[in-house]
Order: sequence, then C-alpha cells, then structure tokens
Amino acid sequence: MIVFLIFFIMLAILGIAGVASALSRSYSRSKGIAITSAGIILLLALYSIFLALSTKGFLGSTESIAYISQFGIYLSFSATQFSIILVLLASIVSFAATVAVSSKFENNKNIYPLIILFEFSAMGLFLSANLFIFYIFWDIGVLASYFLISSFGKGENKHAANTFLIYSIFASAVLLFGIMLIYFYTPVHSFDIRYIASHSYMIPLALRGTIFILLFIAFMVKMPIFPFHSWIADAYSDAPTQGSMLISGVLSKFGAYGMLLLFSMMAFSYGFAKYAFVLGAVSAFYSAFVVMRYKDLKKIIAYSSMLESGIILVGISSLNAFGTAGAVYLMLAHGLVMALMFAVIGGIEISYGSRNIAVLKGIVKDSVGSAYSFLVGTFASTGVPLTAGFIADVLIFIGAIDTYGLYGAIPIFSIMLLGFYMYYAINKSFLSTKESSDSIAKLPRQMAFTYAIALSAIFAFGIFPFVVTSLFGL
Amino acid sequence: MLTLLVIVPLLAASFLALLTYGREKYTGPLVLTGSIITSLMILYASISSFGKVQQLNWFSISGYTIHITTQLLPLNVVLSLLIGIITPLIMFYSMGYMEYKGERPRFFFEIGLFAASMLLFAISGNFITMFIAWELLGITSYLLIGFWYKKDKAPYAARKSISTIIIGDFAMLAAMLIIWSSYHTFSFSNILASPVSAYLPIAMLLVLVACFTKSAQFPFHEWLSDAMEGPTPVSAFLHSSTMVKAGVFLVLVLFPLFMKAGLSELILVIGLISVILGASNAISSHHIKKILAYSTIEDLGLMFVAIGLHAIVAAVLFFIVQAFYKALLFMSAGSIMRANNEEEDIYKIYGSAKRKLLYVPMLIGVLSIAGIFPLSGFFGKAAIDTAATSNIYAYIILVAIDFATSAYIFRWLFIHSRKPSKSSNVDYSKIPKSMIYAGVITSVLVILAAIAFFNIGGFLSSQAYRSILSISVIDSAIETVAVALGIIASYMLFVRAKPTGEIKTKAYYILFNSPIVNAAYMYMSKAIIYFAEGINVIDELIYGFFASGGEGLVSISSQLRKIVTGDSNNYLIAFVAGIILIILLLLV
Repeated sequence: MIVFLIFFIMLAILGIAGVASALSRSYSRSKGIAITSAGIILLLALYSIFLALSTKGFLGSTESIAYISQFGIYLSFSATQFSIILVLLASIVSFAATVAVSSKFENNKNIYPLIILFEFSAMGLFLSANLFIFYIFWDIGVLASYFLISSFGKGENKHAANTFLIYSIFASAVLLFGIMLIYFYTPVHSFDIRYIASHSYMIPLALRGTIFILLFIAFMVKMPIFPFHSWIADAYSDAPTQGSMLISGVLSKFGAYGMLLLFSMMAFSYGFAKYAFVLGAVSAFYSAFVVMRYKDLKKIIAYSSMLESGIILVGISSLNAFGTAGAVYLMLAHGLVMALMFAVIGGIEISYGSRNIAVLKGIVKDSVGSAYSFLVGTFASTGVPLTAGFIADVLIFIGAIDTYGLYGAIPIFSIMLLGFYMYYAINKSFLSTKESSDSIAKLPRQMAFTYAIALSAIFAFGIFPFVVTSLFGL
Repeated sequence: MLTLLVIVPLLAASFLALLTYGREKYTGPLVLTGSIITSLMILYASISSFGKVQQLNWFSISGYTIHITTQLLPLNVVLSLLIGIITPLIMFYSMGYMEYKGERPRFFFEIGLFAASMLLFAISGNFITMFIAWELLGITSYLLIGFWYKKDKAPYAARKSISTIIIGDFAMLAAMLIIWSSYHTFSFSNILASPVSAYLPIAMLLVLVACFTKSAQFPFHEWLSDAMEGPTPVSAFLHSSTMVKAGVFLVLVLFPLFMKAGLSELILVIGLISVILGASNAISSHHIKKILAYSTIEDLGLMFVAIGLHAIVAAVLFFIVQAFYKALLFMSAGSIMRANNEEEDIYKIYGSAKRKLLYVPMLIGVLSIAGIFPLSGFFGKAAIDTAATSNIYAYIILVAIDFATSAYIFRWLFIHSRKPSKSSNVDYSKIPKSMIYAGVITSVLVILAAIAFFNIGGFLSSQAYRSILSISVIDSAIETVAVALGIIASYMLFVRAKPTGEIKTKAYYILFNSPIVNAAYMYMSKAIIYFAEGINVIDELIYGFFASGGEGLVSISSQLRKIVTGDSNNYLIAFVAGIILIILLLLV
C-alpha cells in the first residue's frame, strides 16, 4: 500500500505541477512551481529509498488498478531494487534541470511543463510493472524530449528534433511490435512483466529470436548503441541545456533500463548475451574514436555518453549479479555525470557564448566553478575513485571478467581512450591561462547551484556506495 | 589504533587550506601542522599497529564484501615513515617557495591531498584501497604538474603525464579485476598466500605496466622530465618519497606474485634499459631540474634491477636513501633557481657556491648520489652492485652507470657553481629562509640514512623475503674507483674545458635521446588520431545511410502524394474504376 501511496502522490504532484506551471502567467511562477514539485519528488524518492531499506516487502510488491481488464490490461506499478535507483536518478536530474537556466530562452516559461512532463514519464516508466504502461510512458518521454529540442533548442534544432523523432518513432514501433508478439504468445495474454518472466519459456522457439531482436533494437536506439546512434550528436548538441541534461541523463536510461528488463524477463535472451557483449564493446571503442574528431563540447560529451552506454550493455550482458548491479550503478553515475557535464557546458555557453574547444581558452581564469566542475565530471566519467563512476566500473568489469574471461577486461581500455581526449580538451581550454577568452557574462547563481546538486550526488554515491549496494542485496 | 586515521589530519588541513583565501599567511603553517600531526601519528601507529592488517567494510554485493584494508607490515612502515619524514620538510620548504599571492591555498590543498593519497597508498592492504590511492595520486600529480596555468608548457606537461599515467591506471584496474575473478578477494595477504591461478601472469604483467608508468620506466619514462614544469617542491616530493616510488613499492609488496608469474627477467631488462636512458639523458641535458629528473629515472631503474635480481633488501635500502638525497637535490635546485631569477638552463646559472648554507648540504647530497663512502648513497649502490655479481651483463652496466652518475652529478654541481660575472643579477640573499633550512635538515637526514643499512635486513625479515644484505669489499672498491673516475672525467670536461653548452657534438645527440622518445609518442598519438579519422568516415557513412533512408521515404511519400489531387473528378473515376474491377473479380 505504501508503494501505491508514494508513487501515486508522486505522479499526482507531477501532473498537477505540470498543468499549473503550464497555466501560470509568469516565468518565475512557472519556474517556482517546477522547482518546488521537483524538490518534493526528490524528497519522496529519498524517502522511498529509506523505506526500501527499512521495510521488508516494500520492493517488488505490485499495485494495480484494472484498466481494460477484459484484455488483461492493468495499470500496475511496482518498485524493484533497480527501478528505485533510477527513480532517484530521474528525480535528482530533473531537480537539477529545473534549477538550471539556459541563456537564450531564459524567460520562456513553457520549458518547465515539459521538464515536469518528462519527469512524469520517467517516474512512470521506471515504476511500471507491465509492458503496456511501460510503452505509454516511453512515448510520453519521447514527446516531451521532442518538444524540448524543437521548441527550446538552438542552431539546427528543428532538424535535430526531427531526426530524434524519426529514430524514436522507429524504436517505439519496433518496441510495440515486440510487446504485441509477447502478449499474443504468452499463454494467458498478459503484459505483466513478472508473469512474462516466469512464462517466457512458453514462447514458441521460432519467435524467440524475432522478439529478442525487436526489443533489443528498440532499446539500442534509445541507449544508444552502435550503429543506431546517429541521432545523439544532433539531439544532444542542439537541445537546450535542460533538455540535454534530461535526454542524456534520463532518456538514455529508458533504453538501458529496458535492456535490463529484456535480459531479466526473457530467459532465452541469455543465448544472445555474447553478441550483446561484443556490440557493447564495439560501441564503446567506436565512440571513443569518434569523439576525437569533435571540437564541440556538447558533441564530445554526447559521444562519451554513448561510450558509457556501451559499457552499460557490457555490464548487462554479463548476466551475473556484479554485472547487473554495476550496470544499474553506471546508469546512476552516468546520469549524474551527464547532468553535470551538460549543465557545465550550458554555463560555459552563457559565460563565453561558445562551446567550441578550438576557440575557448583559459576558462579557469574567469569561470573557476565551471572549469573544476568539468574536471570532476571528467574524473567521474573516467572512473576515478571516490566518484560514482568508479564503483560502477569495478562492478561491471568484475561481472564481465567472470563471464567472458580476459575478453571482459578489454572494454576497460575504451574509457582510457576517452580519458586521453578529455584531458586534451581540459588542458587546451580549461586549465591553461596563457591566453584566455573574454567572458561575456557571469555565471548565473542558479547554474552554480545546479553544479552543486550534481557534484554532491556524484561524490555521495562514490564515497557511500553501500546505500545503493545494500538495496541490491534485498 | 585504526591505521586509516593517520591520513585524517593531513587531509583535514589540506581541505581547510581552501578556506584561507584572503588570509594566506596562515595556509602554510596550517598544512605544516597537519602534516606534523600526521607524522607523529604514523610513528605511533607503526609501533602500536605494527604487523596488523585492519579491515573496514565499504560495501557488499552478492555475498562478497569489499573492504578498505590497511596494513602495517615492515615495507608499509618503511614507506609511511619515509613519507612522514619528508612531507613536513616539503611543506616547510613550500612555505618559503610559495610566495605567490592568490595561489597558496590551491597549492597547499593540492600538495596536501597528494601527500595524503601517497600515505593511503603506503598503508593500503588490498587492491581496492591501493587503487583509490593510486588514482588519486595520478590526478593530484596531474593538477600539481599543471599548477602554473599561465606557463606555456605546464598544461602540456600535465597532459603528457596524465596521458601516460592513465594507461597505467586502466591496466591496474584491469589487473585488479582479473585477480578478483581468480581469487575473489582483493586482500594482498590472501592473494599472496593463495596458489597460482591461470590468469596470474597476464594480471601481473598489467600490474607491471602500471608500475612502469608510475615509476617512469622505459617506455613510459618521458613524462617525468616534463613534470619539471610543476613547482619545485612538487618535484622534490614527487621524486623522493611519493608518486614515482609507488610503482617500485607495489612491485616490492607483490614481489612473490611476480616471481610466480615469471616476470623477474622482464623487470631486470626494463630496469637496465631505463638506467641507461636515464643516465645518458642526465649527462647531456641542460635543464637544471631535468638532469635530476633523468637521474630519478636511473635511480628507479636501479631499484627495478635490484628487484629483478631478487635482491629485495638492497632495493629497499636504495629506496630509502634515494628519497633523502633526491629531495635534498631538488630543494637545492629550487633555491638556486630562485637566486637566478627562475633560470632553468644550467649554463646560464652561476654562483651556487656563494651561499655556504646552501652549498654544503647540496654537496652532501651530490656526494651521496655519486656513492661516496660513508654517505647513505654508497651503501645503496654498493648493495645493488654486489647483488649483480650473479649476472655479468648487469654488473658491467651497473659499474658503467656508477661512473656516469658521478660524472653527471658533478657536472651539474660544477656548472652551476661557476663564479658569476659582475654584470649578472644573481642574488643568493633573496632565497627565503625556510627553503635554505629545509635543505639543511634534509642533508642531516641524508647522512643519517646510512643507518638504514645496518637495520633494514633484520627489519624486513618478518615479511618473509630474502633478507640477506651484503656488500662485498671488492665490489665496493670497484664502485669507488668508478665514481672517482667519474669525478675526474667530469672535472676535465666541465671545469678545465670551460664548456658553454653551445657546441653540440654527435655524442650529445646520441646521449640526449629524449626527443626521439617524444617523437615516438607523437607518432603513436598521431596513429590514434588517424585511426579515429577512419572511424569517423564510417560514422558519416552510417549517418548518411540513415539519412538517405529517410530521404527515400520522403520521396516515396512525395510520389504517392501526387495521387491526392483534390480533384473530385479524379476520385470519381478511380471510384468507378475500382467498383468495376471488384465486380469483374467477383464475376470471374
């Protein structure tokens, strides 16, 4: 009952806040409503983590309401040890995003309902206990991100939004097809994830490959994994700061969470795991090399995000406790890092009017906070200890080596390649002040607050990993 | 006592240092106090917790618990005491050195963190704790090397060091996790006690790569000379007891595993190559600090040679004595540079003999590194020479290196102690007092370090390594002759001949081979960039593929759209035609 209560309160607050901020007249009121509701959701998410740790049976219990019961469609929600962590991630990132500001459309109030709508979709998706709900929230997330990019982005944002939409619709269609196949080929037609998990062996042999590949492709597009990644370069870089934070921090976790669900739901997917591992590793190395050709900070971070997605897939495909836990931990760590990095880039854009490392010089001189936050973000994404990324890397690669032997250790070195380029960027544009670009504006205080939220979360999960890992043990 | 607590005062002081912006005269004393408390705690811990392994639970997953483990076995005590002695000296020296306003808090924060991570490394008892310290060392050294953001080359040097070091970091991460999957533990003592597993050789090879990157061994040695772009106290610290010692120390701690993995020959060979490269560059370099940096590469190479020859105690002895004389020499170099307006070219530096309080300690350091009885350096070198008698090639190289070491270090001394011309603005009185006195104290320690020779064998015996330490008279004699010849050669070449450093002979280009190594690094990074460009072509192809797929759909749609004319006549015709078609089909 408590699960029900908390999550419905959450969803209700989000819904009300979304409508209220959409209707409110002024920018500041809209922003105020958004920050307050995202803050309350964050507190609720923390409280539910506390409940999960203290109350037995909190995790895994399902609450459902009949929706179209004659077809076996229920609105059912449940929290698992994995999804509750992603709920926490989504609430932190959304809170950070509501606090953040972007330079050009600073006074546009309409971005806040979209952020809230996006948070709503994320909460719903991570807490859904059946594929029907999962799919609905999946598409709400796509819609919210589409409008975030197309209405509030910069540069060629229309093009980017359309590219994003086409890829997403493709993924959604494939996903829906896959879900329908599952629905029709389970004995009692059902969308219930747990039921499907226990009856996946009854799906006919001939269809197993098709179902796996359909779902796999859908999640691959969202993560993104090579070769369905082309949308990220445009979408991440032309979205507004808040949009980039949400899309890379949370939306890409839709795919990763789905991938996790796929492997835990379909016992027959174990046979495909080694291909998934190879694909994850290829994707990681591929993006490590692609990133070296970019000078735009947002594109650099976009491809580093793709690299982490590859590593997440490596973790999931190890099919053991370490790999899975590590993958979830990396989703958390990576979401936070992306929120930080895109916020920092947004801040740099406000301060310098550019985000091209070929032009930017000596950022540490005028924007100390941005420079060092970027540095910490680099540490976290290259897995330096005491940041969340380290715990994730350790867990994932223990899992991968356990399953794939020495091959499991190979993807580690893709992170090293990323490190080479990140430190190149840092020493070129951030930590050298022989020449320095002219700062055109001071960093807004809200942005500093955004950095602080993300930074403290990154360190908290790096120094106190036992909070999260004890959830895995439940 | 909980051993982990020893890092707390230092850590706290370095974080507090960040709060001293605006009140910068307090920064130095604050961190110095922190480091002294830490040193006293190390002393206390190494008596009260000697030989103990302590575990703290960090987090647990799927039935396994990951611990933060500390241990104070003899080797750990050696290194942590070394850090405990040298850290306050460096802080003291830095108080004088760091006179730049606005930079002090950041400097003391970073160097304090650096010292604390090295200390954590010294007391770590499992891979995960060690790795935390290992990476923190890497990033703090990165920040310190690139400390002068304004300098032309400092950011480049920092990037070079971090690029080399992360190779080691990721090799170490891989090794550590491979070892976990074989033993399901990170604890050093458990792993050392376990039988050999199939993956051990490859894991230890990766550990070795990591140690070579940290300890600046061939082919990863060039970052160390560029690291001279950092402030001098950092160099003094980095080259004596921290950072570069980390690699050697880890090899010492895990030595039985390297033996089991059959890697001691590799350690010997890489050590010998590094020794030769270090000495040849040291003898030809013109940079006052880089000469010492190359000398450090040589020193570390010597330690690896000793380890490769299974002379563990000799390696530890050299490990200890090298820390003191190298710290001293760097401190002196920093003072000399301060007096010569931060000039770095040794041929443009004069008059170090003018300030006796600077010159005499420095001379002690020089005599020690050259290996003259009865200074501590002699014992270190002679012990390694004696150990090398089992391998004739190593022995010949080592004797040649003894000659070369005394030649280059006296060259260093002779050149910068030349008398300055009257017009030059060399001013030895402007060296801050703390810089001078830190050198004086260190020089006393250089002399006292000789005591280690008499105690170290017995002290280490409990860690179950071969604890025999012997110095034979013949080898000492040969060493002394080589050193004396080196001094004579140096005198002939660099005092009698009065070189100006302008003429560069063929020999110079052979000896000064660091540009070749740098070019090799350059080609390697270029190769990566070219490969990345290739991958990028593929990326564009993929982008184009999907884009053209989209365009195809659009063109189909634009063709289909032509049917929708909006003309009701057309629709009516199509409608009638359709009905006729259906009727026909039904009839047939």
